[in-house]
Amino acid sequence: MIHLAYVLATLISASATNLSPDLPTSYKMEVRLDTSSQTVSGFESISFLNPTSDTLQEICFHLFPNAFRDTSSTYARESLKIRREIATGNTSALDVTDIVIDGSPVDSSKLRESGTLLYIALPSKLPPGDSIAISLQFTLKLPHVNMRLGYNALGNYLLSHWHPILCGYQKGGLIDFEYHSQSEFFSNFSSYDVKLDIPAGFAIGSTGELRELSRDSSRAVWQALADTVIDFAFVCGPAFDVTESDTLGIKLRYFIQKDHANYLKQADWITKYSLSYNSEKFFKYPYPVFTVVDFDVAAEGMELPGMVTAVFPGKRSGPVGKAMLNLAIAHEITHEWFYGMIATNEAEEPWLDEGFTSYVTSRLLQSGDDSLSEFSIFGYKVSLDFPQQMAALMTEAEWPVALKSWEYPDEFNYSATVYFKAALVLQTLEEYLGRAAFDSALAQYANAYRFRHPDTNDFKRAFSSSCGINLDQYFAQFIYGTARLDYGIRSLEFSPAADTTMGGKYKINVVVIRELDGIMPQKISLALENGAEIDTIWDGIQKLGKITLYSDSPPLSATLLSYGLDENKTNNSLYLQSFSSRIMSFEWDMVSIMEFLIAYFL
Amino acid sequence: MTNILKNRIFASSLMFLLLSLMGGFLITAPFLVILRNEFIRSAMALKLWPVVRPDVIGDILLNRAESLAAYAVSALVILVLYGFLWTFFSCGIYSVIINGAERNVDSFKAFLRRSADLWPGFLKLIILAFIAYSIAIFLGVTFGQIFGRLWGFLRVAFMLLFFLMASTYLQILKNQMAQTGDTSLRNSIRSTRATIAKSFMRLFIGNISAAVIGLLVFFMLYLLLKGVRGFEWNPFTAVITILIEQLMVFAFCLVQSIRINFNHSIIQRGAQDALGGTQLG
Repeated sequence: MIHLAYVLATLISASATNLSPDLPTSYKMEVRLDTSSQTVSGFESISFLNPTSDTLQEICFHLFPNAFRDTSSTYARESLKIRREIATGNTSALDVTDIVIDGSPVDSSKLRESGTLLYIALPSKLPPGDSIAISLQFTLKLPHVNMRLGYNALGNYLLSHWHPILCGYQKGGLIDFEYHSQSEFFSNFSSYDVKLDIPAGFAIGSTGELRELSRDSSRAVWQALADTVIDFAFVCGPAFDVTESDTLGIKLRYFIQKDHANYLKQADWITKYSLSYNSEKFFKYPYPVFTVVDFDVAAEGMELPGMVTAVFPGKRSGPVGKAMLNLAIAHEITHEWFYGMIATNEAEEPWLDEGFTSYVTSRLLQSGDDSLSEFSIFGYKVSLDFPQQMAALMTEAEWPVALKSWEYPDEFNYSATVYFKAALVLQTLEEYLGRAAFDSALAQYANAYRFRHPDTNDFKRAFSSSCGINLDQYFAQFIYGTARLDYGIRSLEFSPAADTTMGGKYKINVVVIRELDGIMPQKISLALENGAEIDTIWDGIQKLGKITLYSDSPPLSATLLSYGLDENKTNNSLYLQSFSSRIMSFEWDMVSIMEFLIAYFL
Repeated sequence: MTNILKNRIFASSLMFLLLSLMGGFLITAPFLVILRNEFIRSAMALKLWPVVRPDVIGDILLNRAESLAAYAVSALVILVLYGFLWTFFSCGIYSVIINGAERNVDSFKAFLRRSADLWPGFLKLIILAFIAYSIAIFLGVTFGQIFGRLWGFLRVAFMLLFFLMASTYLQILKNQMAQTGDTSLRNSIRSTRATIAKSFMRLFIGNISAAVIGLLVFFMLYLLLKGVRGFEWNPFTAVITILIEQLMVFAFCLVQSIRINFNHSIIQRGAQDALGGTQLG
């Protein structure tokens, strides 16, 4: 529930929000989309300031579309799907020519291409804090949409990670990773001034604010201005219905395929709810425009600066489709914070954006009266969180959370660990610290690192400092390590106390066991026959914990606090009473299902 | 009450129910024992009502994979062994439906004798059933892929339709064996081929109708079941739900008996037509 007072407060404070004042890089581009040859050609000029404390001798560009040029690329070697696409002729390529640095043309001997990276030796050394001007021409051959770039069957275009992008710097180091099949992106905050020459009949949406510069019968030229963003993306095409709305002083633009118009209301609602939720939890969304695009890319949704794509449920109509659309839009909008503004390194520390986003999205979707990620099977509700948590625990923590994206052996392990297990790691931390302390620490972390590039250590420091707890062991076990968690109640016994001065008439013995290597303090709750409850904490370090308590009433049950990472929840409680009759109901259900199967084959 | 028990459709449906119940218990027993041991004193047992919660299923799949694998093997062995028993008694029940009024199958001895006579033929039909249902899956998936683009529900509908057709064909062959006492699969296929072709539409519409009516009854009972499960668990609601579930299985068996009888009467009519026509033709 977003309160009116909050909405008013954020509206009033909107003008006070400051974006990052010091941007090392600014881009100016003039590009033309040719729909007959499916190419984008253009001119790019960049003002680049050395943000490091070292003297630079070369700079590096990402040429991401070259991952799909031929099957020799790292991406293609890692992805059978892309190899097949390339084999059928669906390729993309980004060619760069006429490079000029500070007015001097750069000859080819100064260039070194390595996969999707282009290194350029600088004509003279660039000391810390000094600037250079780089200009270049480029031609981009567009594919039929593959991962997040290209045109679709309707003639709509999505261009993200499409132009020569300077490799970013983090903590003074150059982040020059090759584009892998599981990797995403990293670049520094920049400003963009882009002139886009597109067919006149096309609708257009982009990162930043757009205005039309000129138009004739066949072409239209638009200018996009974006400040303090980590990249620039745009979408255009003839087959979008464009609708505008607003919330919290942000202009919302929806680019929906015409046959999906009936999902607009839902998309608008979840967009506003997600923007409000994250603005309230962390800090207000600072940009003036936000765009939601209905585009069928390689995933259910895709985060872009100031823009998200989502697969509208045309193919998955019904309650599952609706829940999926809620999840996709909420997840991608949450990325606007955990990627777009708290710009962690998506490629080398993917858990910092995907894990945080998955965790916050789960909270967001469950924050209303009804869970927004649930769908109904025969009238019984199932949450989309369930398969995600299953996937996370199925990996049996084989891979640490804090790995580079390409170090995971396959897409399943990458997704299950980086998205879902990381979300469980954060959920467990929340359960350990308490929701209020966790939320406060997360908000402090978000505010401390907005428009910056934090890493895992920054996160650990921020949380340790905020909560006043040393989190070294937690991080070593569950983020850098592969510890697995399972505690269980082994036994619960009671007898009349020999000495009633110990605190009660009954002596209660609880034995708790640590089944796996992960160590977490355990909160044990004893429910008593008289309705009272006794809570106690066991440090969980030993394999076996024997706890003795005294009470005036016999116990009913002993229950452990179930952490999200606990792999076996069945052994987290032990009742003295038997649930035989309850189980019998379930047993009859199973028998009846089997009866149907047998009767079918009569 | 005794009159309704003498009704061969009703009586055979009850026998089918008992046969299914026995199979249900036998096949699920190992799994239920495993779960009982795990849940008997755990709060997880509280999550089994009104329906088993996904996190319980997740917990079982994650932590009892070896037990489940062992169960799968034991269930398969029990299924194969029970399959012989199930086939044997279903032979007798088919005879009750088809010949009950004409031949003396009232005594248990006659029932067993008829079962023993037909058993080899019904066992052969199990092999044919694998082929028939494989074809049904293939056609169901193929048609579902084509028409499912128009409406997602058609994917399921086509699969159910082809399964129904496969089931109908197998019932016709069983009927033929029960009618003639000839357990030769080849003879049954040959002797029913022409009549199936001739009466295809009547068979198709009749079986679809029975299935649709069965589904409606099933759905009504399901709503009743869901209503009862809306209450908190207590022994009384638990017993009521078990009874409703068995009523649902009985309704399903009743539809099967009706279909068997219907298919028999249609094929009989076609055979009589082929012999020169009767008032049934």
